[in-house]
Amino acid sequence: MKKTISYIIIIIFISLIISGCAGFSILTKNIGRTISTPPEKVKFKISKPVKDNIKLSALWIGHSSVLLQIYDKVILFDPFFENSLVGVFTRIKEAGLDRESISKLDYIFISHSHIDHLHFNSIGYFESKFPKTHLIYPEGTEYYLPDFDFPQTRIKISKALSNYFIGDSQTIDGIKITPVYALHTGGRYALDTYLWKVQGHIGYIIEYKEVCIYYAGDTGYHPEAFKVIGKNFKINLAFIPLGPCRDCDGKGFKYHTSSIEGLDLMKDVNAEFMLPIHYGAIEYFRDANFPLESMKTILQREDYTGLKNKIIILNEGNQIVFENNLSEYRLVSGENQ
Amino acid sequence: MHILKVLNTLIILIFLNIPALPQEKENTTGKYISWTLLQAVPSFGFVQDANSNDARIQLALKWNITPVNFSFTANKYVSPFQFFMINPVRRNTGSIEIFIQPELATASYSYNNFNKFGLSTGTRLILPVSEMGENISASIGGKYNYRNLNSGEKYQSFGIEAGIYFIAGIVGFQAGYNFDSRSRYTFNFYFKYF
Repeated sequence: MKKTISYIIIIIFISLIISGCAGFSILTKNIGRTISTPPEKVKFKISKPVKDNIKLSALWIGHSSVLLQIYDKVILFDPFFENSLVGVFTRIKEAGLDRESISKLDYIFISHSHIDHLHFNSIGYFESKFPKTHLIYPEGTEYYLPDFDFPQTRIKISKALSNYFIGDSQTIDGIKITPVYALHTGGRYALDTYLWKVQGHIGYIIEYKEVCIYYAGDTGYHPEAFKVIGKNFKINLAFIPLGPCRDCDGKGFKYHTSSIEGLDLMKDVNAEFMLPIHYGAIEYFRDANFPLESMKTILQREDYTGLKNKIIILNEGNQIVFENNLSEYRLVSGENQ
Repeated sequence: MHILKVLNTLIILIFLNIPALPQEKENTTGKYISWTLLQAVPSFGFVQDANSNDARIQLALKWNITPVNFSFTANKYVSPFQFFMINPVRRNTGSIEIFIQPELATASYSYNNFNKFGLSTGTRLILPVSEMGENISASIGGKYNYRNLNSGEKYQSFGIEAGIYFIAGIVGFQAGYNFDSRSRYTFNFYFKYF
């Protein structure tokens, strides 16, 4: 009996390796990195990310984390400041911003409950520092969210995930929030995401004064949805996820955009400026920066060159600041702040 | 008339251009089937097999069943009580639970005369250690062990246990101490998905 069990365990283990089980391969690769390699340091970080007298600014913290400021409102999207996820996925590069340097915070937006988008410690840190911050998340996320003391708002997702693609807006403390379609899932621990298909994911349109922002969250490509979003909103700045993807020049991925699909999505929403995110921090199928490198190659093709002037590629910790108008920005980094 | 109604409905369904729903529905059947199969995966471990003269280590398989879990940190929109299917977030951020742990020794006991099948039940307190319990959580608990002896007698003993869990509490290790010289120490790997 003992022998039989040992054989079964060995056979399962070897089968998983040989069959190239993606989840198993990603997990083992990341456990190895966690043991052996600390995240690469970001040498210069911006010490005063919240600015006075600006119209708009966006600081890419890394992965899908963005610190956004629209006039006096400061917003964090999917904050992830720590070096690892559930102790086994270690960042390639550390967060590009020290959370201690955030001097004001009005809203934390969560797009869904996956571990790389809903990070408990990254949210919990702000609980005592900014207790009045609004925590906003899609319906379904509450099952995976501890009871933080912030004022909380659950966003209804059913209309945005239907053929309307755009949900009902609501205004919270001055900003207008509209949930929009994202082709993804909720859940958190692999099987509940990809097999159980737990719901609880969304993209956001944020409007305040004359500024309109689109944060796509995590999404696959849908041929109609993003065209509808683009037609209904005049977006000034959009945050679009790239990957993870094995073949980033291919199409038809279910829950994430490949690089070429990310560009198609950008074409559809047609924002004035667009920032690719969701790469560079965690290694999934290939190098963490592979989706970005593929995107740069695809941008050379004739049918995508129109996007060149609209796409802003930031390094972790870099910030773009729109001071006087929404068509001109300056780049701020830790070195030239 | 009835056939006409059916034909009408079919024509409407075929020719009315209803676009497919852009979002997949939650897979409830797949959820319960896969969850049940995963609960059947045993956590293997070691138990002591001793009498007053000799002692040895015995390999055993254990299953982890949680009839009730009460979370101290459940979000205000959800119930703190969960039954059988336990969300790891609510378990590892701080909770107390009642557990049932069936156990099957992989070979006959040589010294303590225990039957191969045993059952423990008790209460366990789970506390977060790192990253609000998602990286590491720990537990302490008390349990009552039910055993049948090969002679047909029933035998019961108290025990205490402690555990440490990783990767959202899905895997871990548990060590136990029973107030019973015939099987005082236990140690097992722990696996439980929801």
